Amino acid sequence: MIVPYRDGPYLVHGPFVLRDQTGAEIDAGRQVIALCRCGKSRIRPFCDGSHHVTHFRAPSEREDRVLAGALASGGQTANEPADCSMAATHNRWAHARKGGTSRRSARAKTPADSDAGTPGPDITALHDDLLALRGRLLTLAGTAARIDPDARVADAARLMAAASAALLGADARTSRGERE
Amino acid sequence: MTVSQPRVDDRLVVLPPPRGPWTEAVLALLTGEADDPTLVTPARNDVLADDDFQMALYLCYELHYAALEGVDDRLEWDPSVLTLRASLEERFETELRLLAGSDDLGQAADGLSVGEELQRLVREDDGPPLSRYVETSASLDQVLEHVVHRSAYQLKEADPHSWAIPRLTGSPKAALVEIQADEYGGGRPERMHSTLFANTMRGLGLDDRYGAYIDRLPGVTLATVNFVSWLGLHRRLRGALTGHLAIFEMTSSVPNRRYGNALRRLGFGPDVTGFYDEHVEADAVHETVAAWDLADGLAASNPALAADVLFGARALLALEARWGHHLLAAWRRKESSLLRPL
Repeated sequence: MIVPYRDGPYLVHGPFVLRDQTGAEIDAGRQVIALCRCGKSRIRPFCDGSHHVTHFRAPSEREDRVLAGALASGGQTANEPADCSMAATHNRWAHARKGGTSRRSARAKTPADSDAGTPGPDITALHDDLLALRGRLLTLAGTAARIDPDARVADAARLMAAASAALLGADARTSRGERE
Repeated sequence: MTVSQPRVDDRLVVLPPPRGPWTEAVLALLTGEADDPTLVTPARNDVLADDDFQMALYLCYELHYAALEGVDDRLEWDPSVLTLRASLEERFETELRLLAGSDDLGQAADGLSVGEELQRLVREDDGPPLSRYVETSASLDQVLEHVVHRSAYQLKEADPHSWAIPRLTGSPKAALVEIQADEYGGGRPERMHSTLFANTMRGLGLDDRYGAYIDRLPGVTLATVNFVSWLGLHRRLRGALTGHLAIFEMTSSVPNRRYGNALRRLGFGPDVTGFYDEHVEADAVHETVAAWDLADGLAASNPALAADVLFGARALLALEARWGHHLLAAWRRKESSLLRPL
């Protein structure tokens, strides 16, 4: 089990193996470990409490700013369930937006892209609205599913995902076109 | 009275000489010279930094942790000793609650959970820069003094918090046991944190026997240990004990990295820095479990305990700040921070 704690690290409980990208095992030395989430630890991938020094802030639950989060962390949502159309959509979008350029946050990217003539302020505002709507809808759908599964809520969520995909897909095509 | 002989592997504390009327009263009971508790109430202020008062309370608590040389083990539950201890605790609690303040009422007003309040307390803490000074500037003698001060707690690290285990239930209990298991080495006695601290002491040429330095410890140091013993021994204070543990762990990783750096700066190797290096990593785990699963979880399941969780947190920060100021002030004056230099 992996739990992101509010303003703190990821805690990993239960049987796990920690390896580096060559496959070599990283000795965790204990049964429960804290993995760095703020990026400032001096013993990465482990947490060393540096989040207190940097006043790192992050919620424990999934963030609403999913697109910005995916871009900023370079696609950390890649492991989300494949049948989640929302996650798949913003992964595709994040991937397209990333292209061959360096990792920059969505916020840092917008002005630079505007300079290059790619997504203008209108589409950015639309994204923001869409994100907010999707966040609320996801929460609503989740609550409804827990209390009394409601097909209409689920349908609405799927419709929003489709709308989101269409808009983001168009934006991604625009971005690619401008770069080429 | 028959005096039981402790086994060689027991902790054995040699009784220190009296420091004033409070320790005289306790020592008289412990050595059998008196069997009625003399309730001492000298007109002294600030018992939280009083060398005599804190040693008297410390000795009462040591009965629960260790064998005291020449003292009947049965005095641990002797009504006279407990009566005297209760009178000391009453005064201790009064001053602690004054020191900690009572802005816990703000908790409901600003709508923060206990976990968020604990984070805020750490964020806004303006304690003295002790670990930064030790990391960059402390002399070897000062580092040794720092270790000797801490030995009063670190050689029994985690023990007072274990007293809360039977007093908790459900998730908070599971969280506490998870932390304690790691504190005690996760099944490997050589990894037990108190053992790692003893290694550090030996590596520095210090006496690592339990209680070897208590006679040199000032009240301001003993108060930090008495505080957690007091919380651990009273079920009614279990909320404050979880707040204490949360803050203790939340303010541990970064300072311990600095203390390890201080020892590296002075040329010591991993055998000596091991205790501090282990705490950087371990306490990053513990703080998270302690703040959220233990303290926040306990307050969520029993809201009546929320204020006491925060009392434990605030009082610890305040006591630690006083202790840190004491060390830095003594060192600034080019003096020893102990009652007698090493």
